Amino acid sequence: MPSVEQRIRDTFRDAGAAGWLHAVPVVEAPNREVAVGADDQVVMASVYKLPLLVALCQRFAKGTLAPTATVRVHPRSGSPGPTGVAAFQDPVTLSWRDLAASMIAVSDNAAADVILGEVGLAAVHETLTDCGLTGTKVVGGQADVEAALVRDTGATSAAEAFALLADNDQALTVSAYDPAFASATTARDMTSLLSQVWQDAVVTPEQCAYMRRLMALQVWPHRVRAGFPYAGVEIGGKTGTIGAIRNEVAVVTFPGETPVAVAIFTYAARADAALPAVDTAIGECARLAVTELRSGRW
Amino acid sequence: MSDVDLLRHLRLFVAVAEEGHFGHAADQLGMTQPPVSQGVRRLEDKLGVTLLTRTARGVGLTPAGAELLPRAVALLADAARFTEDAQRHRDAHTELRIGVVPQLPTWHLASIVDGVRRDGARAVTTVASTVELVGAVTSGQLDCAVVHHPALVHPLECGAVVKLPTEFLVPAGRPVQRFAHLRDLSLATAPRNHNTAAWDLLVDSLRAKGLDPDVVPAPTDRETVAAVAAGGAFGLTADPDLRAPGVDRVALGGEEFHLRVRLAWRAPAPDLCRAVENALTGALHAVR
Repeated sequence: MPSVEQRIRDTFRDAGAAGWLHAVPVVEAPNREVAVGADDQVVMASVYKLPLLVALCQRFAKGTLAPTATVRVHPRSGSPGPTGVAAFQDPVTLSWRDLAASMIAVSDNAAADVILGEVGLAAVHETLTDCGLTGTKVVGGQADVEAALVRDTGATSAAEAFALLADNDQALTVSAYDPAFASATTARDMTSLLSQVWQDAVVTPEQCAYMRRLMALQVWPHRVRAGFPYAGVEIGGKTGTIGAIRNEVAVVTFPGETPVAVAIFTYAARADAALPAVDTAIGECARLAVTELRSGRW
Repeated sequence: MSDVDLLRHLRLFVAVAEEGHFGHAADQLGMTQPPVSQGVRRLEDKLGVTLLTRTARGVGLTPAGAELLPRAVALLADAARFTEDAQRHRDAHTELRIGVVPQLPTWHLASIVDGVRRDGARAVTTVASTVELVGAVTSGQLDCAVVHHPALVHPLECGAVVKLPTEFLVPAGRPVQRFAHLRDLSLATAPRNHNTAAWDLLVDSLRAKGLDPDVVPAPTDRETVAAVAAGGAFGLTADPDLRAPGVDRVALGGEEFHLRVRLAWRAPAPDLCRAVENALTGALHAVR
C-alpha cells in the first residue's frame, strides 16, 4: 500500500487541487506526524480569525477588555458576507464574547473586522511571536483582502471581483492567492497553534476552554467534519475560503483517545465558487492523516 | 592525476571490469591493449588500491574493485548527463522541445512549429496528456507545453488562457438542436486521469445543461470519432477541419464548452515561449 503521505497527495490531485497538510497528536512532545508540504507558505483566508481570537482572549485574560462589555455593530460599515452580523441589515448590540462566537462559529466577516479594529494588528503579531509561529503573518482583515481584490482585478465592487475570480476562462494571479502578499502561514504553524490552545498553553485555561468551545460550534459540515461521520467524534475547527483557496484547521478527538491536530490548505485548479470535490478531499485527507496518528490504533 | 584524468581512467577501469578481458575492453574502446592496461595500472597506483585481479583465466574484481565499480559507473553516467545538459543549453537558442495535448488541432500545432521556425529555431514536438506534459516540463524534459486549463500546473508558470471554439460531434443523420437530443448517448472524451480538473469541469458543465452521460475514454480526436461513428456516443472537437463519415458536426451551447489551453513553462521562460504564444493566439484568429 502507498504511504499515507502519497495517498494524501493522490487525493488532492484527484480533486484537482494543490494541497498542503500537517497533522500531529496533541501531546507534550509528539514523536509522530504526517506532513505534506507542511513548511510551505500558504494563504490563510479566514483561518486568520484563529490567531485573532487568541489575541482577543489574551485581552480578556489581561483584563483590558471585558468579555461581557457590549459593542454596537453596523453591518453596512463592515465587510459584506453571507453569515452572522455581516448578513444583517440593521445595527446590533452584542458582547465581545458573542461577537467572537459569531466570528468563529459562522466565520462572520463583519464581526472579525470589528474585533481586528479593537485588538489591532500589532497585538496579533505579538500573539504570533508569543506562540512561536515564525512562519505566520497576518497583514489585514477581510476588508483589506477585498480592497486588494478589487484593485487586482480592476473590478468596481467586491461582488464583481469575486465573479471574475470564479471565471474558468481566466487564470487570475491576484495577491489574495499569493502567500507573499496575503495573510499566510504554514500547516505546521497552525497545528502548533491548535496544540497550544488544546493544551491550555496560549492563555489562561479558562480562555482556552472558551476558544475550544467556539471552534466546536463551527457549523460547516463539508470539509474536515465530512471525513469523520462517526458517533462521538468531536471536532473543533476553523475554515478559510477565498476563490480557489479552501482551508480548514481542526482538532479531531475520538472518544477516549488523544486529540489530533490537523491543518489542511488547498488551492484548486478550477475557479468555480463551489467545488464539493475539493471540500470532500479535505475531509478525506484529514481522515487519512488522523487515522495514522490515532492513539486508539496502537 | 587531475579530475578530468580520473574520469578518463575510470572509463578504462569500467570497460575492463565489464568485459572481463583487457583485449575486449580495448576493442570496445577503440584502443590498443597496452594503453588500457597501463591506464588501469596508473589508476590503481594513484588510488593506492588494487581494483582488478589478473589471472591466466582472465580479469576479475578485487573486493575494493567490486565496491568501487558501481560508483565509477555512476560518475561516468553523471558526467555524460552533465555534457548532455551543457549541450542542451548550447542548443537552447536553436531548438525548442514543446509538448501539446492531443486535442490541440493539427492546424494550431503546425502554426506553433512554423512560428518557432520563423524565429530561427526548430521545434521538436511531443504529444501527451496534460498530467504527463506538466511532469515533463517540470523535470526539464520539455521546454514548454500547451496544456489544458484548468489543470494543476504547480510549480510551472503559465501564459494567458486561450479558448479554442469547439463543436459537438454526433452520430450522422441524428437531428440535434438541443442538449436534450444527446440524452441517450455516452460522452467520448479524454480519460479523467489525463487532467481531472478539466474533465470534472466538462462533466459539470454538461450536468448544468441537463445531461449526465456515462463516459467512454477517448484519448484523442481519433478515438472520439470512432466512438461517435459507432453510433453510441457524442464528443467534442476543437479541430475545425475534422470531418468523418458517420459523424456530424453540431454547434451547441456557449463558450463554456470551448477548449481552454495555455502555455506552461518552467521559470525563467525560454526565449522562444513568446513565439509559441503568439502563434497559438494568432492561429486562433486565423482560423476564425
